[in-house]
Amino acid sequence: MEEVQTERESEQETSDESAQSDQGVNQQIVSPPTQPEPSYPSERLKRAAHMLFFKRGRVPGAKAWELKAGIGKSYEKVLDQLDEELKELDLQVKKVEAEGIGEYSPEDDEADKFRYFVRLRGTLTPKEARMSGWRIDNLAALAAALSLVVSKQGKVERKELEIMIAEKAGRWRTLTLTDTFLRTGYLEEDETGMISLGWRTKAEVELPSLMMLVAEAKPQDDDAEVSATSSMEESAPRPPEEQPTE
Amino acid sequence: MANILQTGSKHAGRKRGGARRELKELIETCVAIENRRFNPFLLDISEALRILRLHAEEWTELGDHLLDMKALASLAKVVGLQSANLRFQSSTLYVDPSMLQEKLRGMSRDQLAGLLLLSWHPIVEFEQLTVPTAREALDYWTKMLPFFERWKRFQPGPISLPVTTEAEELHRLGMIADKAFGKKLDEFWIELKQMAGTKTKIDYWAFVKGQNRSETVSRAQLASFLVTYGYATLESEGRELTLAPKVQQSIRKEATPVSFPIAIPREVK
Repeated sequence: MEEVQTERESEQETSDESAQSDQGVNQQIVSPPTQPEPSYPSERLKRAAHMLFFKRGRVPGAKAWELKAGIGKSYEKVLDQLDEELKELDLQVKKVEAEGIGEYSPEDDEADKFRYFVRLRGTLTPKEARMSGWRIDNLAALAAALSLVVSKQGKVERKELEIMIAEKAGRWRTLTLTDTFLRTGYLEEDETGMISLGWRTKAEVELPSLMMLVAEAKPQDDDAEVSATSSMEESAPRPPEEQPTE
Repeated sequence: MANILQTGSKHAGRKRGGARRELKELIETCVAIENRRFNPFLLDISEALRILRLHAEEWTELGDHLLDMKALASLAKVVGLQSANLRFQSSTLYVDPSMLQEKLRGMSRDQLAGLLLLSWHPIVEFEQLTVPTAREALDYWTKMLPFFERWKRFQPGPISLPVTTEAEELHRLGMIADKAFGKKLDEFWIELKQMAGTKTKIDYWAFVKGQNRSETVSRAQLASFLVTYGYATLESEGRELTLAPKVQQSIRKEATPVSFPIAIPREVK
């Protein structure tokens, strides 16, 4: 309501000013109004944010050359600035090698081999993940799948992977889940049926952290699963306020 | 003198307050490291221990001692994390796959999901309507027939009410067998024995061949059950196949069952 009043007041002021300026033209008292100079850095910042937030193709984010064309040669500085601005919102700009996204060829310019995304700086709590449409089973299956692929030095047979996923998500849901992980880019399948890590995993998952957590974890009984869920929700970390910029 | 003492105690109180704040900050940092927000090596352990030692003699209250203990325990956890981090770094993401699989099997779904959530930073992406997709949607909408027009295509016509049916009708449709399978097999065995008569074995095709191909296939199927269940034996000599009925049903348990496919030639009706 206050804002409305302020707007009205400002409109009033503007109309008063324009009236005065009209008089000024005749009386030569007030100098003619000057157009405010456009703020280029903030405009470029906005453009960068639009390019990174809004999905235009199959893969989110923007390629380096797209950003160069849209923002200019100094796009990396603009992205650094955007990253600073996003800190407040617990978001960050992440630079990922485009290799594996199927859009980079070795002939391309060195800088063009990167793709930029905006991702969460901190982490989600189990409750938040559930609210954004992720089932705990699916997350568990994804964790198992990723750690298995990493432990097998980046490649694993689809069958072996499905056996592992089936242990966490059940036999019937395994096929659907594997396809979902492949479709969303967490995993990739080559023509020989070997599964490897997909572009989304590289962009979203801190694999060293995941592997360390899995290596350190003490197996928990399934009986204790119910109590673990509630305790996990209580003790889960909130998104961090600070994290080193990448 | 009293003034000096008061000033001294105020000074000590301020000092203690500052020390408590330092310890709380240290604990917060340790908790942040435990939650994987920072690299464990970002914390200088020797400096942290120096702070603990510096304030150790100032504590007089139980709460302060507990705070000191908590800080020390948090530091110990960070040292543990540093050790784990070093071990992991030296292995460059390598974890023994069989050990990992064992671990994954032992872990509950919630535990696994929790571990992923600690290392997962999902991408922010907005889906939006573009001019081409809006045009496509509009085109689809304008071309789409009204609901009742579309419904006409699926009109099933007058629906006949369900009626009861007889067993003969179901048998005629081939939905149920006219006799129990066991009884049918017994009768087939008797037929085989009668056909063999005094001979010990008869030609397979002479027995199996029926009035038409469908009957032949059914008889061949029953003959295969006769052999499988030990009512008869099948012998193959070159191209000739013979069936030998047994006097009594018997299955040789010690024998290994072997599949013997018999193709029914086109010329056999």
